[in-house]
Formats: sequence, C-alpha cells, structure tokens
Amino acid sequence: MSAKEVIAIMFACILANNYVFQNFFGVEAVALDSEKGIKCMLFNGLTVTAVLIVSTLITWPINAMLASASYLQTLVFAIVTTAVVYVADFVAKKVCKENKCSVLSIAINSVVMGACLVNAANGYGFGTSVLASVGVGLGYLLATFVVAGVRERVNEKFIPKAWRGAPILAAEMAIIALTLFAL
Amino acid sequence: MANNYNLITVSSPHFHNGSSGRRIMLDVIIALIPAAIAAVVIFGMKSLALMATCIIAAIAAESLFDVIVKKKNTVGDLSAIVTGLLLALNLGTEVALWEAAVGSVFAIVFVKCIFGGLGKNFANPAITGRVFMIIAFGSVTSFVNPKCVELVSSATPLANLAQGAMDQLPTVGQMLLGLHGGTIGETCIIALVLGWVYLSVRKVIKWYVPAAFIATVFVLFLVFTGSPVVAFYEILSGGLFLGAIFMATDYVSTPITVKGKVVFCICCGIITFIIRKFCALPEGVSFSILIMNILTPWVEKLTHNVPLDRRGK
Amino acid sequence: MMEKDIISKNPVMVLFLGACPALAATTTATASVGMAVSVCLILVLSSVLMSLMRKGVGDAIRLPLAIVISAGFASIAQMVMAAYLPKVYAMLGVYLAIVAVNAMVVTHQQNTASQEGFGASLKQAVITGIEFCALVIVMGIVREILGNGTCFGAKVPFFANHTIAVFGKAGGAFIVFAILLAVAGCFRKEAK
Repeated sequence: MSAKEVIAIMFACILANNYVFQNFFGVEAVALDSEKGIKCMLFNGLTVTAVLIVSTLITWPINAMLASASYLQTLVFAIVTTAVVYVADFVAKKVCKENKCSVLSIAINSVVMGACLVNAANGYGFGTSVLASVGVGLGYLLATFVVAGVRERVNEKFIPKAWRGAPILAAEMAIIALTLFAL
Repeated sequence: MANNYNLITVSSPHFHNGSSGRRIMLDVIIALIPAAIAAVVIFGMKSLALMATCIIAAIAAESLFDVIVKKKNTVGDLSAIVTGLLLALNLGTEVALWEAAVGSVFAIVFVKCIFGGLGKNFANPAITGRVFMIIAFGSVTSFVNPKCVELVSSATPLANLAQGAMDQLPTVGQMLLGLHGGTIGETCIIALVLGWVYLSVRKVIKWYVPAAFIATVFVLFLVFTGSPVVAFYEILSGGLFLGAIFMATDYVSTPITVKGKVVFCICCGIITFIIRKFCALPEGVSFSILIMNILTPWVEKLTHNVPLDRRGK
Repeated sequence: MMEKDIISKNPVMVLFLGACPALAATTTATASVGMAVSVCLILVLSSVLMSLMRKGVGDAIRLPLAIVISAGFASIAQMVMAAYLPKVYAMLGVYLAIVAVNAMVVTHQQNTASQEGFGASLKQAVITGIEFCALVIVMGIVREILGNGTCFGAKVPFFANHTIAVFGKAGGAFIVFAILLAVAGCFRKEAK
C-alpha cells in the first residue's frame, strides 16, 4: 500500500469521516470519557485503538467465513468484541496495577463494533481494515480530547437550567461536528 | 507590558464590568463601519438589507431568549449587534434574507445564549453562524461579481487562484478596493485595514495578532508556490483580512494570553493554507478559526504565562 | 463499574446513552420510527430476559450476558425487519446491529434489570423506551421536514421550498438532538 493511500485512509478515519462526529459511533463513550483526566483519556483512547485492531484481526476472517450465514454477524461480532475487551482488561490489570480507569466500559463503546461492521459492510481488504481501525481509534482519542477541552471551558453555572448536563454537551458536539464538514 | 496585562484583566471570559465590555463592542462596530459602507457601495442595497436582517434577527433572538429564561435583557451590551453585523459581512449577495435570519438566530442562540451569554461561549458566534450557513444553504458559497465593475472572470479571485487561472485575476487596485466577487464584507481590503488601525489605536486588539495570521498564510503560499505574486493575491482574496482582524481576535473564543493569541493565529494560518490548498473547499478561513476556537483550551494549556520569577532565561 | 451516578442523577443523560441510534437513524421520519420501535422492543425484551435470569447471575457475568442478550434480540430484529420491511432495514443499515452494544440497553440491564424486581425494572424499561421513542421519532420528523422539506416522504408545503440542508447532516443531527434533550429536560422538571 502506498504512503499516499495510507495517509488518505488515516485522514479520512481521524478527521473527515471521524467515527464519533460523522458516524455517531462512540458518542456516549466520549461523553463519559471526556470527564476524566488526561492520563485516563489517553489510556482509554489507546486501549480502544488496541481493542479495535485485535477485533478487526479476528472479525475480518470470521466475516469471510460467515458469508453464507450473515444473520449471525451481529451476534458473533458482539461476542468477539466483548471477549477482546475482557482480554484487554485482564492485560491492563496485570500491566498497571494501580490503574483506576475501567477498561470494561469499552464493551459498550459502539466504536469497536461499529468499525468492524462498517469494514465488513464496505468489503475492505484485510490491510485496509486494520489500517482503518487504527485510524478510527485515533479519531476516537482525538474526539475525547477535543470534547474534554471544550467541556472545561464551559461553566454550568451560567447555563440555563434546561440545558445543563446532556443538552449542552450535545450542543458542544454539534459545533464540533459542523467544523468537520470542511475536511 | 503593564498595558498588556490590564487588557487581559478586562478580556475574556469575564468582563469585570458591563460598561468596559460595551465600550469595546462599540469600538468594534465603529471599526466595521468602513467595511459596511464599502459593502453597500460595491454590492448595492442587498448588502444593507442583509446587514439589517442579521442585526434585527440577532437582537430579536437574544431578547426572546432572555424572556424565556427570565433574564434581564442583554441586548444593551451590543454583542448581538456585533455578531449580526459580522455575520452579514460574511455573506454573499446571493443569500436570501430568510436564510440570513435563520443563520443569525442560530449564531446568537445556539452558539452564545445557551452557553450563558456574553463571555461564556467557546466558539465565535459569527464564524459558527457562517459555517452553519455554508452547510445549510448552497447560496452562501455562490458569489456574483458586483455590478459596478467590468471583470475578466465571473469566478471569485479565490476560485481562480485555486484553479491556477492567473490571467483571470483582477488588478491589484481592484483587489484593494474590493471590486470583485466575494462576501460583502471581505473584499474591500482598504476598508478592513482602516478598521484594523482603529482597533489597534484604541488598544482593543494588538496589531500584530491579525498580522501573524495573515503573514503565516503569505509565507506558506510563498514557500509552496515560490511566487510572491500568488502569495500576495492569496492574502488579499477570500475572508482572510476580515477573519484575521475581527474574528480571530475575539476575546472570548481565543486564548487569554497574547502568546496564546499569536499561536492561535499562526495555527489558523496553517489550517487555512491546508484547507485552501488540499481540501475541496476554496475558502478555509472560517473553518480554521472555528477549529482553533475548539482547540483553544489546549492552546491555553500549552501557552499559559510562566510567572516572572520562574522564567528560566 | 458503570457510571451509575451520572445516570441516576440526570435522567436526560440516560437518553444521551442512546445517542448513537438517535443521531444516526433519524435523517428521515420513516427510518426513525423503525429505529425507535426496534430499540424500544429490544430494551424491553432484554430487560425481561435479564430480570428472569437475575437470581442466577453473578457480578462478573452480568456485562457479557447483557451484551449477548441484546445482541441476540438485535439479530432477531434485523432478521424480522429484513424480511418484512426491507426498505426501512436498508435505511437503518449498520445502526440496527449496533443496538447490540447500545449503552442505554446494556446499562439498563446491568443496573436495573439484574438488581431490582421484575415489575420495577420492566416499568423502568417501558418508561425509558417510550421516552426514547418520542425523542427519536420527533427528531426524525424535524430533521426530515427542515432538511428535506418532506415528512414520511410527502412534501410539506412551506418547508419544501425552504430547506435547511444542514439538518440532514451530522452537525444538524447534534443540533436537533441538543434542542430536544433540553426540551425533554423541561418536561421532566414540570413532571416533578
């Protein structure tokens, strides 16, 4: 794969077609993650990327095998991604014992399943799928940081009562999503 | 510089007293008057209609919002007028009045009011309004040449530059006077520079902050194309001067420290260059400012002032 | 493990946890009805099944079990829709499958269905489901009318000539979502 193609895929996954802001995967997870500190966000984002890569490595061949029984896709993908998350959790607990960031919440982060399904639906080749997964994970990391920055800036005291909490968060994401149109 | 820090105390995100904020808003409005006059002279009465629509819509929206949330009416701080005027100057004459009104209401209510009003928004309302309108209405990115001048090409200079059609460009004189297609406020460079001088003299902005933005774009185009002429035309085209002087210097949505503001503008310049050169859209200024608005908290983290007694050098 | 406090403190946040389908499948009113009803059914059925199993389920097993249950129902929903409503199924695409790991569904199973009584958790599931339905369907209708000038495919007189394209796109989805969440917040306060 040429360098240009790699850059194009990365650019698309991280920015132009950011899975969080354009495809809406992982919106809830970003909402929950962006309240934590920098270390935690970095850890979560990188773990999501790792889980994505491993999940793609497993689901891509499985999908090829499942071609005739496509109705099993959802169930199988869900089981595989959950299993990968548990493995990641096990590894994380072994590697850094004082880690307070929960890895298990990645199981309900729709980015993982979303990326696997979209890769399958678009019929990407193996290399492209894995590369795309890396891009998606980094895009998720970027989204978490960007939203965290904006949330720090916004002071709930001044916001009208009806808008506090979830609505203003959605409004912040709205403005962020508008900018990605350029790319 | 002592003056520098006085200015910072007054600026974002909290105006320490309403009247000084109002004074600054008034200065911005005055600085925009040359551009507004130029807009009417060059593009005709539609400009006046657009400006009026945007300002009235902004004032109405903010007043209605204040009533709904039971707050004291804040139109007196003049920020609605500034937003309305700036948004209008960012529109082309093809935009319908109802579209301008919708954009204006969005800019005021969604970008400013719901976050708590003046000083509490994280994104520049006029810029976000423009971005919203670009996505919402096709008419916002279609430009027509002003009727008062005969031009070689019906495309805007920015579009011609993007295509490399150097022979279709207006003369430098026409560029400076704004006699070419574009949004009603961005074309007349001379009018905008008058505003720049006024704001610098009144100490509302530091003159070199917009300069950083414009210079970055110039240098990048110079290095990339090797042609000073192209670089010069690039900075005179599109919304660069308008954005750099009036929106990249917005107190509320840009970093607090001067160092931060300069970093902000340089990054805007880089992003503008990238969008103009490599992305599908011809104009990158609006998006670059909005992108940097969103990244401002991180810029602030990286450029916060180190207290004097802790500086290494 | 699940951020219980955020959820129990702010009921509107529960609706945010279902954001993915709400944002993605609401470009047209028809799609949004399809998605809303599907999610609601998946939520209720998963809740019922989890409730029935709650006595025999240990802490560690809860999350994977919850996901398997919702994935199962999501698969069934996909098959049913593909067979009887192929057009709607095409509109929903990937997002119906994603309901398998939908935060709202799984968290509800985890926190409520597996811990509280059958009746209480069913009631909670139905209430949340109906609120979600309302949110999503209204979103779909609004986005279609404003963004496309149509409603369930039929042209709407004034809006057809004055479309605001952004509402059909990603940014617009968030905008409508934000406004509707704020409105939902208002209703909740009045109810209290």
